[in-house]
Amino acid sequence: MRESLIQLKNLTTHFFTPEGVVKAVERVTFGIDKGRTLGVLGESGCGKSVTALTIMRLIPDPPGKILEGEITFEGSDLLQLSPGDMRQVRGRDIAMIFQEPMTSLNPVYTIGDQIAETYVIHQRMGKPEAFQRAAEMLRLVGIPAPERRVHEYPHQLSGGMRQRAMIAMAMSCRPKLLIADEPTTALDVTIQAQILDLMLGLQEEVGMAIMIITHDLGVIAEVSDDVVVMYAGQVVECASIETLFLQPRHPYTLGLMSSIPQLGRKFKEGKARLKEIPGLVPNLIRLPPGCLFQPRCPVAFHTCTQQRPPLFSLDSGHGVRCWLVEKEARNP
Amino acid sequence: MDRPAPESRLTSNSISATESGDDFLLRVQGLKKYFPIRKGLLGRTVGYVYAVDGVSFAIRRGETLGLVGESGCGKSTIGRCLLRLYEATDGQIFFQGMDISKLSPGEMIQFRTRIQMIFQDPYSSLNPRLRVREIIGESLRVHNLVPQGDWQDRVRELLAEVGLRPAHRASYPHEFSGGQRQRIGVARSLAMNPDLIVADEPVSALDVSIQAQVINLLDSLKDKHGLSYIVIAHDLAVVEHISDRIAVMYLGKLVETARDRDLYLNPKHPYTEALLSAVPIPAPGGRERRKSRKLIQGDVASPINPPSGCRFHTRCLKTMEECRRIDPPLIEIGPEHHVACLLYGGGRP
Repeated sequence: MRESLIQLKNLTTHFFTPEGVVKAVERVTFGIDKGRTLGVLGESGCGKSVTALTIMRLIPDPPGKILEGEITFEGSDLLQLSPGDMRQVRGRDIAMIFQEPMTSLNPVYTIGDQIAETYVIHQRMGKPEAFQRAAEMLRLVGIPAPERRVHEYPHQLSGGMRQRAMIAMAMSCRPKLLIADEPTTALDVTIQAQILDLMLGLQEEVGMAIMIITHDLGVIAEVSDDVVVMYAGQVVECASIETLFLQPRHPYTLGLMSSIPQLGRKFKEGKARLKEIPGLVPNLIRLPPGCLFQPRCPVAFHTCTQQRPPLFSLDSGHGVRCWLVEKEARNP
Repeated sequence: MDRPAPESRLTSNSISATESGDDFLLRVQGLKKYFPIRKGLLGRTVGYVYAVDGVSFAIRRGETLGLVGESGCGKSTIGRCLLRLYEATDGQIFFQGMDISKLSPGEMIQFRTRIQMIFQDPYSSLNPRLRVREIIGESLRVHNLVPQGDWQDRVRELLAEVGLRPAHRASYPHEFSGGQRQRIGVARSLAMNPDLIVADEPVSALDVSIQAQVINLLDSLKDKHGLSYIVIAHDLAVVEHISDRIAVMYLGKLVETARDRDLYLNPKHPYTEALLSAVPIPAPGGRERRKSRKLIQGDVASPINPPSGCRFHTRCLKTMEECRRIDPPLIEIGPEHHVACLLYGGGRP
């Protein structure tokens, strides 16, 4: 049985810069069910990280501003919480890990200090006990000799170990939602596989939901139950993982899938040129008229240049922001 | 396209492949590069980073060799040694039969035009204070490859080849996107009409939708100009797509080299197997695949203090007693298929 954990509705975050308004996230709507994994796929500048920071309410203001929308988390709207209440949610209910663990860990505190802090703050534990729990967490994420490692500084750990330490910190209060922003992008493939296994193993144990943000379609395929594809600040397609791979509908999703080299494909289908998506990601200050993907879209027609398409919903929760699916849509 | 190749003058007075009976464009023999670790006031050498430790391979004209491995395995160091951007500690680099590893800077100049490089980061590899025409044209002028008045025409031609407009000549690098900058880098490397281009992570800094554009560009330029490439990358899917032959590196040594198809369908070294199975495949059924794969544990060991015997034995799923003692040499196990692993008999006393 599926039960909703978090629901984003029309979330809009803009940045007001001297050059103009950067429309980083524009009316983004999606939800994550308890214990499920949502993959958020997109290229740099598509708004996937800003969406995550908006959920955590970590948008620097100024220049950023959350202009509208709701984030319903277990019945309450996170955007309405006081800063004090939001601090309680962060770390305890929703935790986040980042791409580059070296820059997100504090270099002047030991690993143990940084993990123990969450116990001291959220569970009012004494320092010695918190340190012991920190060591247990390090053991849980597969760091050898945790009793020694708690006293080490981030620079003494390898990249993979640092990301494990980040995960230990994020998991310390057994959050209900773990947001992972490109958690393996800075890591080698063999280490990436270890970290993904660790995250999903912990998920099975604790039953948390995961929102994983990545540009890597392969990572998405390995970990997600559901997928949201973002382009230029908007959700352009959302579907279950099977639907996304078997019946992708948005031309951008299709373009991405055929533009990436896939291991072994050239021996099965013969070597072919990769299909390119022409052009560039649009400037978020000067967005094109009509559909945002229209200038690069191989199947764009007249309506696309005139009107911005809504997210049409097809069967079983498949949403597509494209005029081509208008006729099949159940509701506009 | 048959452009009058300015360096045909060079070809005639340098040693050609046939003269030395060597049908390889480039052959590397026992290449080593150790970086000293200095400590203290006097800068005493207290140890070495064994970045590249005895690597041999060769590349034919018109061939693309992919060099894969995880970060710190020494693959970029090899690329830089080939261009003499680093001086190799030991070993030989034969370019068309001639050992270029010991040439003086002056003697090296004529080879500089023949081997060019494309760098990973299109942001830091272009001088921000030069216009595009200067970035691309500088080497043309330095090497006197085109008559004085003609270099601007050549720049225009090069821009067109990499899919940029002639009007871009007067722009500065910051005016371009990452993908366009990488095209400028490609144009710069083509300017010399080289025989070999070493591309170090040519697409890894680019967005997914832009990577395909640059990969396709490299592919078509190769066919058009009969180029050879050494493509250094960590992304196995990219390397496999673009390469004819692939060399897998681990901690400063080659562990397996094979034709692209053999490496994918018939990997022999446990590390190659592990790498292949760790690559996430963008296709349905990923969760099941993830659970069934053979995952190696632990981190890459340190190149400062590499493990004894086979360097992979600390992480290997098939490690045996003698792997700790014997460092297996690269032995031939099939046509163009070499592997350095005791499972295949190499190095038994």
